[in-house]
Amino acid sequence: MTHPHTRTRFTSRHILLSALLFLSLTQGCVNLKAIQDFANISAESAEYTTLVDNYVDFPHRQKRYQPEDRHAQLEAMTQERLTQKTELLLRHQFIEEYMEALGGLAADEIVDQSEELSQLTTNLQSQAGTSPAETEAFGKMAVILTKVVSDGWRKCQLHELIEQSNGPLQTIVKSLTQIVVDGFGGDDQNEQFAMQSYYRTKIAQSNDPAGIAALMEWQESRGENLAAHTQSIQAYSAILEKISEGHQTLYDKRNDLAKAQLLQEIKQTVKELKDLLDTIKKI
Amino acid sequence: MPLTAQEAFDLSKQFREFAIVLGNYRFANWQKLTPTQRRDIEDEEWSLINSSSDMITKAVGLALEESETSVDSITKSIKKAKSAIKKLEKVSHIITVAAAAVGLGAAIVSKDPGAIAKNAKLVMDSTKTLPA
Repeated sequence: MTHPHTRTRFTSRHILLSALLFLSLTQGCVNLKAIQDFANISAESAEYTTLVDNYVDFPHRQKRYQPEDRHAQLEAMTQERLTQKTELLLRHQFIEEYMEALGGLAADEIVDQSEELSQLTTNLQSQAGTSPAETEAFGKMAVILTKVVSDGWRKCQLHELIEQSNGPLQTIVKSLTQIVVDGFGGDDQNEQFAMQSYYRTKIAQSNDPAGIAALMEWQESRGENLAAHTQSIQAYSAILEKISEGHQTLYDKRNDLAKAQLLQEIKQTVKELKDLLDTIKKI
Repeated sequence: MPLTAQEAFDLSKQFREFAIVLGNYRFANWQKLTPTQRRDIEDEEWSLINSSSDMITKAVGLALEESETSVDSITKSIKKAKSAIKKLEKVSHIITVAAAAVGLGAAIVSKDPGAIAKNAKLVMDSTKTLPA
């Protein structure tokens, strides 16, 4: 039989522990390093915009292979792609800024992104080419990030940030993934065609064995560069997929962000993201 | 004819594949073709691959959302043209089919619904020159 005093002590201790747990969550004592790491590596990944530069430069690279009478058309394509650059980078910027806010709140820091937000808002106003769904996602994300800064959100609002941002973030990441896979990937396949057509034609026209050997070496070297580029596209689309999955996991378990199992899952996602980012950096 | 980004990417793939089929034909028949025929076919290949790249450019600036537009007739025309290249014997027929497909590509990139319908029909008609 339990002594009444023991029961009282147990209840008091229980209340005290619960209060401590609540305080630790709200006052930043719970270590959410896995979420900080996820946010940091995702922000770092979003900073990688080499593929956007290569997309804009694609028509220039085509000039190596295509006859001169095609160059004006390729130049026009470059100009059109240049006008898309800000919009393409906008997707990267949103992911980066959001992840920095997420990492900040997970570390219980005040997020100060006033300058970046102002830049984002300016870019947002000048961009009209996106779909209504994506424009809405940009707008929602800008509103949430502004609220984080203006209201001085801290760790206790982390679940709220994740809850409000998951929808727009998934829309932006999905759109960027499609562009990376089908757009940048499609460019690589067109470049592969142009390169092969150019070298095969030159080789078929040549009667000089030494010249043919040199051409084959050039083709091989260019082919290797292109294969490396294709590899970086595949790695980057895998990164975007991991960011999407990782954030969805946070959203699904947003009411229990300190749970060990969740933090372990996120830790694993961070490791995979780091490996993929290292792969891209080595290419 | 508003396209979704996915539809434009899919069409881009179709035009790339057609350029590849045409290129394979040119190299497989290199000795049989005259220099003019080789140049004409190569010219159509560059037009097709540039149409494919133009469609990628358009797709990147397009919407993700659903569209009610069906690109089936365009896809059917290109598929028919690709298979015709493998069956046609006269080089002039092959060049005619390729040129019709190039016209269709230009119409898609210029987003002109009337021209798209007209050129899709032209591609189908050009493949009907196939021997029985």
